[in-house]
Amino acid sequence: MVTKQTTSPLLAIRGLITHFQVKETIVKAVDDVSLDIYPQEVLALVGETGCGKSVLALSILRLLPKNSQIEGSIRFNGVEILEASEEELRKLRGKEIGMIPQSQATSLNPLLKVGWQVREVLQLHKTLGKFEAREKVVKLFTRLQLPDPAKKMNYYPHQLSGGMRQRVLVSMGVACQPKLILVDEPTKGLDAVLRKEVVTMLGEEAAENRSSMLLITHDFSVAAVLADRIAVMYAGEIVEMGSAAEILEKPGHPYTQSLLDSLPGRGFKPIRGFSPSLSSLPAGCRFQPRCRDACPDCSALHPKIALTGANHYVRCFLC
Amino acid sequence: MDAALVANKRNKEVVVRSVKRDKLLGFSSAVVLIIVLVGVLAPLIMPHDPISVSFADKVKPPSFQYPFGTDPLGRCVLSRVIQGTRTSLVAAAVIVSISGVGGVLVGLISGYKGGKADSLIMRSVDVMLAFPSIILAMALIVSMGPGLGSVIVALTLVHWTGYARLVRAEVLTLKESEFVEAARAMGNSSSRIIFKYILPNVIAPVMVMASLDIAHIVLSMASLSFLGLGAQPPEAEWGAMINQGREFIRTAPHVTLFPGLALMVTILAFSLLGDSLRDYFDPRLREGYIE
Amino acid sequence: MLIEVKNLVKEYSVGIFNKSGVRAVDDVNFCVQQGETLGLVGESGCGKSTVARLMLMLIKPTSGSVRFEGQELTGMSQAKLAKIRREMQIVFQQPQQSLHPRMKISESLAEPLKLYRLVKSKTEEKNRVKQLLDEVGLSEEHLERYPHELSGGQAQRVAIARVLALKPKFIVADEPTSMLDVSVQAQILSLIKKLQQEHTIGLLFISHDLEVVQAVSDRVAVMHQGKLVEMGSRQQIFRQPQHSYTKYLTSTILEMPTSIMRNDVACQ
Repeated sequence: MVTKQTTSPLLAIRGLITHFQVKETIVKAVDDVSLDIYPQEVLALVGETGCGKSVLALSILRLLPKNSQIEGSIRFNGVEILEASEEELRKLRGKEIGMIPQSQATSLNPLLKVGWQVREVLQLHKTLGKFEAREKVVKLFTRLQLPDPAKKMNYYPHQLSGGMRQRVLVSMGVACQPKLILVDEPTKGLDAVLRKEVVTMLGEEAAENRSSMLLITHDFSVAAVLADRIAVMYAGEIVEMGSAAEILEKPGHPYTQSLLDSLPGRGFKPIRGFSPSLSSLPAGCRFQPRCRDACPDCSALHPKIALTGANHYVRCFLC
Repeated sequence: MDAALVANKRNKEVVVRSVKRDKLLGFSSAVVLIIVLVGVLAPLIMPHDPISVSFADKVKPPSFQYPFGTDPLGRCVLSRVIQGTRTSLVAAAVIVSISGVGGVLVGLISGYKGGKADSLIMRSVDVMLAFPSIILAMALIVSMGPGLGSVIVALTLVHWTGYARLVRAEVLTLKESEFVEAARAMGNSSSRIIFKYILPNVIAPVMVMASLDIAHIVLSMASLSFLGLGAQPPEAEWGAMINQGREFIRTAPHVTLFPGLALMVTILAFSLLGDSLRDYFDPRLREGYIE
Repeated sequence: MLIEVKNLVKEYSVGIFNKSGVRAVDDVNFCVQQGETLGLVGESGCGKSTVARLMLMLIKPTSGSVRFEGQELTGMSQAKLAKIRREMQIVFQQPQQSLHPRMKISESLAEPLKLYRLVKSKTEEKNRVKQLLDEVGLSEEHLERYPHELSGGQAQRVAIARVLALKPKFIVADEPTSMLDVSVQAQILSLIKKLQQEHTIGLLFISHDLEVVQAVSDRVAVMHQGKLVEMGSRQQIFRQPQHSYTKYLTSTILEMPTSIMRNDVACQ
């Protein structure tokens, strides 16, 4: 991992702020986030519903609704995404940065054959003939272990099982061998059997394409299997970031600790209280009202993220 | 984390869509309110008696005494337009409330009970919808004899089917929803589930439909009166007035123009109200952002 | 014996011309004792939710018997069932959708009290609603809200409070936390376990999450394609699974790798 970080990052996010104006209030979905993703690295962004992790992914692709406001910098492979034109962005999306969406049930067009949908991604970004593109889709389907790939191309989404649809979506995300794959909650709502399948498949694809991956999940066990590094997000901020092993074994931030302790296999101890609304955040540290080790300082001052070990950052006074 | 921060400000525009929608809703409901007030206060604000004939004043252009002029029988067009508002609104209100309540009840029962009753009801609705509604209404009126009463009965009989269909479709999805299942698990009776749990959730689309329906009914009524099947002389009704002014359209356009305008404004106002209500009730358009 | 299911079958007919039966639930037998938690696991679509709805007579079984405290429920009249329903309740998967969207929380909680005339006056009703809210860890500020103004976890607490209002002896929890975050999941499950102990409730806990089932259940039943393939104590099922499907299912648990393994992977 150390060797990886001596090279320059593929994606460098600095001071990213994404806010939404909803009626009179401002929703601070992403607040001052900085992170790097290095070539061939899998970074898992772990957080709970409403912490802003999906908005962060959409910010990278600049696929945000009109009432949003972005500040900061997102550099991908030397290109400043926040200053790129629509044309440049279109070339990045799908080709350089692949996205695997959250819901296998609704992310495919129900009226088009799945083979056509994957081929379209290929033909959009590569000068491939119809025949070559079809060949490529069969190869992709074979690699992703879709049974009877040539035949499956002519199926409509509803004729495939959930697991197979998930494979089709993955094949669309990786079709152009993107340098970076954004994966949004790949296991949400899946049962244990399917979850295991999806996790295995994602790991193989990232290795096969030598892609980097930003894995957005609420599930630590998925992150544990796939990620090199883990960033933990809470209420719009990154509260802890470090190598996967360190985060899972020696979590520094009380939120990470509590979140791990609330897993059924690791104590099953609930965190008290509720996640704050992104439009009315508590003063001081955002986790302080729920924190088991909070001290008076925590409600007065907002902690900065700081280095506590080798590449291990924690946003806490650690009192 | 030491790189210089590049500050970018963009996408500063806020959603104007919701503001626009609220404005449209406000505007259309204001116009509808004015129309309703005109109808309610008709006897108080009419400058003249709408049916008293005065041959000395026939087909006069707009003047201070008769702001909208007079018709071929010398009656004040303004007074008749105002009286016509009352006629149209009362008839439309009666038709929409009876066909609405009836259609909603049929739809609720048909959708919730399902089975044979449902098939029977829905097939008869299909049969009724297979006829063009205005032709069906005309046939009914002819069999009952022309007049406003017949128009009201005929349009009521034609219009309930739309509500029944709409409500049935809503009920079919609602009855599978978890909160209805929870209500059943709690031990609620069928009638309580229908009226307490399902009905409140179909009111919004019914309101939208009713508002659009009023526009449709006002137009149907005017068409039927224009054809001589609806309001009979000397009753003041927009369609009938347009028909009476038909011969004089070159020499005295005001006789047809003003009832025509009244018709247009009313239809437009109710249609806009229906559309903006639809947007208003749609939760997907209500929230500004997704996560 | 609180509730007992014998030879339960639910068949759905498919096809318009060649009607053939698909068995969603195929000859299922089990029972739940007072105060006990039976975990029911299986993949999505294996028929576990159908079993729950059959037990509560929300759908009619094709054949078989369901006995609650010795009384046969199949073929019972709606009026008689309504009385028994008070004692057997269900908590659903989608908390926000299991509450009436146009009823305030206070109204939703008062519904069961009114339905079974469990309170005599308005003030008694108010007090009971507040007490229920307190029991599930919500405060009075939530009373005047609508379901969409609550988070998933809060809505699930309301759903639990509503069930609790009836003082049931048996509760089905149908994937109660699969839509919730891990920290909220822990909150809701510890709440359910606490209430179960306080009120000695028999619980049928349905989930596809093996780790959760392992954490909450006394006994576990494994379902596959409509059939119950294995049933036993939690230790038996997770430590010495007998049936090949149970073995397969337990093998899909994602183990958290140790730090040493982690480094090996990173070096390759």
